[in-house]
Amino acid sequence: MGRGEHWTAGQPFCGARAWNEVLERFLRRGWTMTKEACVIKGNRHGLMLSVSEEASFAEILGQLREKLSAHRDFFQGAVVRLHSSAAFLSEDRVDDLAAVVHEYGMTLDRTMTLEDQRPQKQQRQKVPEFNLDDTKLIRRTIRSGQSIHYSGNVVVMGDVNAGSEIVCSGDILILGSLRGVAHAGAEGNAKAVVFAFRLEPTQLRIAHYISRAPDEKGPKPTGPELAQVVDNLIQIRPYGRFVKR
Amino acid sequence: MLDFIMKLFRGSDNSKDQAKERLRLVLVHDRASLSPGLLESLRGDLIEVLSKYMEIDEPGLEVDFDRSEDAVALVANIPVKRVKREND
Amino acid sequence: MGEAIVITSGKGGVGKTTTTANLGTGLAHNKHKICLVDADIGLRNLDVVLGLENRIVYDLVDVVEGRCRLRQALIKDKRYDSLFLLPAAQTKEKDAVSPEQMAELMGTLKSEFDFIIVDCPAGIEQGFKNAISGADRAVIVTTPEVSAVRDADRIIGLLEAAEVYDPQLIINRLRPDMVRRGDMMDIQDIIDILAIPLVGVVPDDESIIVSSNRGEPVVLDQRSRPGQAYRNIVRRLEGLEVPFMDLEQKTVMHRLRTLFGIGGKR
Repeated sequence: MGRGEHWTAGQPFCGARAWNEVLERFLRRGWTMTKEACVIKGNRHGLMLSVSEEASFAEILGQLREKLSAHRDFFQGAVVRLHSSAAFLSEDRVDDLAAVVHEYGMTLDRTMTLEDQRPQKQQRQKVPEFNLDDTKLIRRTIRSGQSIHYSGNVVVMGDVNAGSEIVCSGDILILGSLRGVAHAGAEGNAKAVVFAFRLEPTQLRIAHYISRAPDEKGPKPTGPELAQVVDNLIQIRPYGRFVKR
Repeated sequence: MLDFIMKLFRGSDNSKDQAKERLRLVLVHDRASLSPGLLESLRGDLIEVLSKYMEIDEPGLEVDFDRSEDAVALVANIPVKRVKREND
Repeated sequence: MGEAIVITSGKGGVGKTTTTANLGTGLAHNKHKICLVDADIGLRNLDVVLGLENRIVYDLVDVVEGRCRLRQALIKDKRYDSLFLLPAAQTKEKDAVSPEQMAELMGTLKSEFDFIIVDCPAGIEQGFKNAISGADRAVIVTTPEVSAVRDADRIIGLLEAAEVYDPQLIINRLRPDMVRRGDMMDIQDIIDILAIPLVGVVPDDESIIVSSNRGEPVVLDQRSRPGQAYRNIVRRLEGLEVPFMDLEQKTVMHRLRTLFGIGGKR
């Protein structure tokens, strides 16, 4: 599964933005080991230097030098605006960045653009039932007899075999086959969802709703599917169709 | 084929009889085992009885089953310190 | 007041779970009210053999620990309205239940059902002690193998110590052809050794595996020989006298040997 297929974080998704954020967070955690410490990009306001808060300051300076030296002619004489939060970049650090930028013949606009970040934080507060820090990532197969109980969301990179169970207060995201029992929103959140590459669980529970696999063997799922409560029933639909809606 | 005919006429030496014989031996051994608790209480009773007649080295007393090929025996090793006289 | 029967063997893989499912289904078919109890905590299988695995919400441990009422944990069978399963917990440890709790549970179940059939785990540890706790009688399953018969003998001793008296024997997976060739212990050999009454002999047959694949107990298969054997055992458990099946399908060679007076040992 490559990045940028239907896994891209920002895709519109049925109002379940909370789930989207899980995915986003997961993607960030899983694939951004190589994430750049600093990025220079252009938009209608001009050049923007955005700095990752997850990288060390030394890394940021190092990468900045690398990038500027690679495109020395291109950046010559330009003005670049700093895009980061004041909490992360102290006055001293901004001085250091300005010095590096100056070395390569550019000027740093020290007015930081924080506008983009503030509303984002407010939005997060609007979804109080969902806390991004409450996601457990499990990188193994959950086998028969094992059970995962967690207050928050659970992401499994592996299969969840028959005879095992995952119970959590948030969403369940299985990057593999789900054959055991999954209980999402176990503390009563009926908006919780269960997602799996192959969704063939023994039993699905969301909040107080319960559904079980049909006794007669139905067709096997052909792709990723998502289960959620719709009209007081747990319904399963292919993930792709959700995105288009 | 020869094997089959041999089996037909030999009667006894087949694997079933081996199974029975092995099982018989195994069970002789299994059934002759006492739980550690019972073994301990046997030890206590032995000491009590023997102490009437002799002074024995209690910690040195060993009681266990001895399992040989096809029989089981109860073996007790009892170090005697002093045999009591009748007038003791 | 019902009767609690524990199905046990000591050795694993001799067919306890299959036996439990078949006897329970057979008794329910004969209009008895039956509760099957899976006492194999941590390695449950009875639910799968009965095809009820997707209905489980609560289990035995939940009942014992008071997280749900007994009624909520009982799962009704697909075919018989009078057959119920109390499933084992899959994600808990064997010592989640004590023998006292099991005995209490058995007491409650006996007031509601005609027979409670307990599927005992393999081994002789805590799980076994729990499973036999509260049992009125025991049925021991063995196969005609040295290891299985030896373990059965051990279990008989342990049952006596636990004051579960008069166990009965089921010999499972008997292969008449091998018995005839003298390559398998026969029924009499095993009874001689274990010295307990026989309640049934189940021949080894492909139909057992086929029906377990489907989640349908073989006892319902009218044409299957093991099915017939289980139906006979059911009748005997009900207290009826049923003659034992003739498992020796006589062949020409067999008759010849009998004629010569060298074979035909029974």
